[in-house]
Amino acid sequence: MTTLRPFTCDDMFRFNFVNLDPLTETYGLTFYLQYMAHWPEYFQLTEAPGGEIMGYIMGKAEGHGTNWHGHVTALSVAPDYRRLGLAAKLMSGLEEISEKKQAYFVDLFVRVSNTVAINMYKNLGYIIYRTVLEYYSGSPDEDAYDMRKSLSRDVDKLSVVPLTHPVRPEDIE
Amino acid sequence: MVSKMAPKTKPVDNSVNERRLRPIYDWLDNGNNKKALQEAEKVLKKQPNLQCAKVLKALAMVRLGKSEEAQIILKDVQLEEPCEDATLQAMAICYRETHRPELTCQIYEAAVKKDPLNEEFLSHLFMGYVRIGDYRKQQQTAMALFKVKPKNPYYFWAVMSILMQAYVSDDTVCLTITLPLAERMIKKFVEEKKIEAEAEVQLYLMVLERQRKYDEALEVLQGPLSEKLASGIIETKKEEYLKQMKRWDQMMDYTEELLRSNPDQWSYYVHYAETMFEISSQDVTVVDRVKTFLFSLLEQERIKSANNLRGPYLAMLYFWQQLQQRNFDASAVFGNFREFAQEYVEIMGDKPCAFQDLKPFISSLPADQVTEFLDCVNQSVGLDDPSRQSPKTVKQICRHLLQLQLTRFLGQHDLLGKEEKTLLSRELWDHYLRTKFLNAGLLTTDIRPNDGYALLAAHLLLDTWNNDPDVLDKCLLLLETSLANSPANYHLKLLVTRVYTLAGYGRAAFQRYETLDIKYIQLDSLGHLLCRPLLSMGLPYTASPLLSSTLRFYTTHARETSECLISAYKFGSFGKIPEFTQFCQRLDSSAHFASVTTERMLLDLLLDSSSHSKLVQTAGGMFADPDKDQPDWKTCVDNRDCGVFVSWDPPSKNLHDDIVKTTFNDEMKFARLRNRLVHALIATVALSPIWQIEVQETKNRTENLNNDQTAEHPKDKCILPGLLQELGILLTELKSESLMSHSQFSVQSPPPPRLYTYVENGSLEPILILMDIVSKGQCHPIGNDEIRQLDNALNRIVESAQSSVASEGFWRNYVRLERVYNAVETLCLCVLVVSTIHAIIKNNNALRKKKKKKGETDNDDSVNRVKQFSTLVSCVTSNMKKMEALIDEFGVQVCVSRMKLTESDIETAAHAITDEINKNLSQSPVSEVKNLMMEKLKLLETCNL
Repeated sequence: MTTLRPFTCDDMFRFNFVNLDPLTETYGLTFYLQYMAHWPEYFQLTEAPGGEIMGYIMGKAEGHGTNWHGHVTALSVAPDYRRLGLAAKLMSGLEEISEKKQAYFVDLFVRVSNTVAINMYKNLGYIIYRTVLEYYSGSPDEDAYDMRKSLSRDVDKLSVVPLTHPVRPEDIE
Repeated sequence: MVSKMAPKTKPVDNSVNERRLRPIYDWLDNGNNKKALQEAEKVLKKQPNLQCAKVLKALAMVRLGKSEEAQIILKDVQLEEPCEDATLQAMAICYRETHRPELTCQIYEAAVKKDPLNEEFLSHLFMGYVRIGDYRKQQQTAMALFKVKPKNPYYFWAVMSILMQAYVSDDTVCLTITLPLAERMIKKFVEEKKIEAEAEVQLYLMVLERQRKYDEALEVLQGPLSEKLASGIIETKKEEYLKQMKRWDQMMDYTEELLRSNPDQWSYYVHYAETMFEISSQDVTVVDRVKTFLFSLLEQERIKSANNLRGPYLAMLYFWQQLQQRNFDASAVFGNFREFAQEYVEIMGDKPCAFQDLKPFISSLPADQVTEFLDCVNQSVGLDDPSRQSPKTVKQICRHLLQLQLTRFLGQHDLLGKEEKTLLSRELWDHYLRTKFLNAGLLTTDIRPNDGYALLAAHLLLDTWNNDPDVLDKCLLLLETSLANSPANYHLKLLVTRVYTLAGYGRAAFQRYETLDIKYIQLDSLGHLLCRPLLSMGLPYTASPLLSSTLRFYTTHARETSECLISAYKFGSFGKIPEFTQFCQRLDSSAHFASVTTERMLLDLLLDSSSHSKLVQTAGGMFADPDKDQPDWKTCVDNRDCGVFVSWDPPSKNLHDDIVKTTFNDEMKFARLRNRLVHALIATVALSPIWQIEVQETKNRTENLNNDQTAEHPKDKCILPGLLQELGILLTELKSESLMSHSQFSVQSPPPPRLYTYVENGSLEPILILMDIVSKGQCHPIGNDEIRQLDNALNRIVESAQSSVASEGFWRNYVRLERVYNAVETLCLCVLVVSTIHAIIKNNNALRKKKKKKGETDNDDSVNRVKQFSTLVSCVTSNMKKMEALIDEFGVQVCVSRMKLTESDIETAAHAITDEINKNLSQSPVSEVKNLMMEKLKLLETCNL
């Protein structure tokens, strides 16, 4: 049982069940507010019957020409609400909005070590489009997979032909 | 070289200037402000009138902390009324960084006057008004922009600015004038078919909603304009409008339609239930319709083999509960609640969310069915004898934990005695150990599925605690052990932080708190867990950086939010504009902000006062203004996330709303008292002759520079008596109130406000007596009565620190430390006031000596004054010595408490963990207060005449 609704400023006061998890970063206010200001429809949250925030997705639409696409910036579900298909639900919402905005594809970055997430995205129809070398800083730096799923506007599925060579972070458009 | 005159007309891009200025920009961008300053000066030598170079010089100075000098430059440039884009933008940055956004408006107003058709300037002016929230001027500027360039966004900026006026102005004006104007403006565009963006339609809806014209809004949703709206919005809005218009029949049909397409959307069920009750008062048969509909949704799920939705199952419990609460015979109408609950457990029991899902509803289970229900849940686990056998799969763990959690929630643990609880806790710990094998292969960032056993075992132990140190040791051992196995589990981190806090081990609590990595907005929502409590636990030095980083968050947010507000205009996210404005207010009025600001100031006085002149410097540097430096206490808000602790306690024992409310109110009262205290202290220090020399002079200098910016210093003596009077009134009020007892605070409740011990111990009285001596005037000799009163008051707080068993409950040790800290803090603050009295008397004596003719001896009066002062000093000194001895004794007492574990405990725990806990527990909790005392004793020693 889920209420899916747009993320609002007040939600930041109580998103702790999601954000206290070490894999979910808590950013400065500007980060959240700029997403809300620029792409409010791309920032959605799910709430449990008791009112707890179960998870949220942040994204945006960007790019020119056939590169016009939806992007998933952050997707996070509180540990107690995993294995319920919430991530899939949030992803499909984002895809739907991207369809409406006539985007060609949706993409996201994921740590190459995060096999659980990679498999989930694969199940949702995403392919590994390319590897981005040392995208995540840390010790050591970690590569990212740039995963993509084409949308109906990309009739010939040109956006999801995998690259054969990895790219550097500075080469990402 | 002949320099160019400052451009009075619209300047042309000067490539020479640009080339010269480039390096200054580069240095500024690289953060090398010193080089930027040098470069600017170099350019200004060649072209002394180049405005932009002047401003960039000022910017470098601002960033080098030379704001005062920068202001002189900026003021000069402003008088020249610059009209060149780069100069204006650089000035705007200066104003932003010095928190003077209103000046940005002034410079662009001047520029627009000279060049009224400049789109760029007008646009900057509009944004300037957004930053200061001047909606009317926003509106005018947006319309001026639209006239210069008829672009849709400008037009709708004007409409939004009108709407914002309506949000703040009084209802009659906005309903008759403001809002109809906004509506007409949009309608004009609709009729002329000029609507382009989704944002514009949304704004149209906002304007209609504000006027409660839901009928028309609904038409928009059903008309051609709706094509511009994203999905999701239409559904929510339509529901809202139907509800507002009380068109319940339509609402019923529509909600059913929505539920059919999305039977997992909780908000639809809530609206559906509301609609049902609205209709049922006229036509009770609607309940049957609802029942049929909900059962049809349930049937759809029942025939699924996998991936069942939670919605239709929980809906049955929700509707049953709602009917029951409104005096329907829910069982007769809907069926057996227990069976619905069991069905949910059957389907969803193997998910970790099952308990949280059932929590809002399960207390509706009739008392006589609890045992039967729990038996059934027990069976669903699939273990023959759960007391001996442990789960073999993760799903089984989930089911088993659900059974245990529900058992606790339904009050069954309350029936157990101490022995039984201890045994059960031990049994859960065994389950934890026996299911550890299921954690193999998990990443360190994964939460272990069996952590729930450890948490529940800890809760059971805490039930039996009653300040028995053995229980505490066991509890810490199992929490630390499971945390070592599951370092990502924040429930464990929160609980272990809390247990250390309850036990009074502030430093260990702080270490664990730090692993939660609380930052930004969380400093506001979760800071209450440890920020102020660190002081209560006697850790002023540890608390200091935490208070600073919290304060930094609060002071930077306004600037950040206003930039985002501008983005919302730029991207046409009009719905977010009132939301951002309210959010900004919510942070500004945060009670935690008020508390942290005051505590930070007090702590600065306390820690940054090794000598009297240092104290003067610290107090003077605060630029305190007793009138402006306090929030509107009535509008302060509670931003704490009090639901962050998991609990399976029955509703009767759970965190009550009233404890949340009471703690909030009492924290506010405390913050207010402390706010007045810190201003009274500063006003006291301001009477020191050293202040007159060091602070007043700097102040006069800055005041000449800029009259309106610097806060008023408490320059005259009159403000101290007023503040003392305010403090007296607040204190009398507080004493007449009945304050909450510490025993009402549970493990998961917010920490008990310091107010209680503070008032009870009379922490404020000795400081008040001393400040009163200062306030009465410099020539007033200190009377015997005053000294006697002071001695009594100091005695009282030292004694209250000694009486350790004065309170009961979970927070006993914490409260004990708090009393110690109250006493130490009061004594140290007294020393600060004494040092001020000392400076005043010393100065007076010196003046008198100057006046006196040579050879004349001191008169009796001044001898007496010196004598009385030394009596005062020795009174404070002796009480401090008493307190010091007490602290030493206290330190020894706690340090000997070490983990006492039985053989079987040791077997199950790694020695490293036991060692670490012992290390945590062996740190003396009173070392920081001792240091503070020693430092202030030294200051006191310098106070001799």
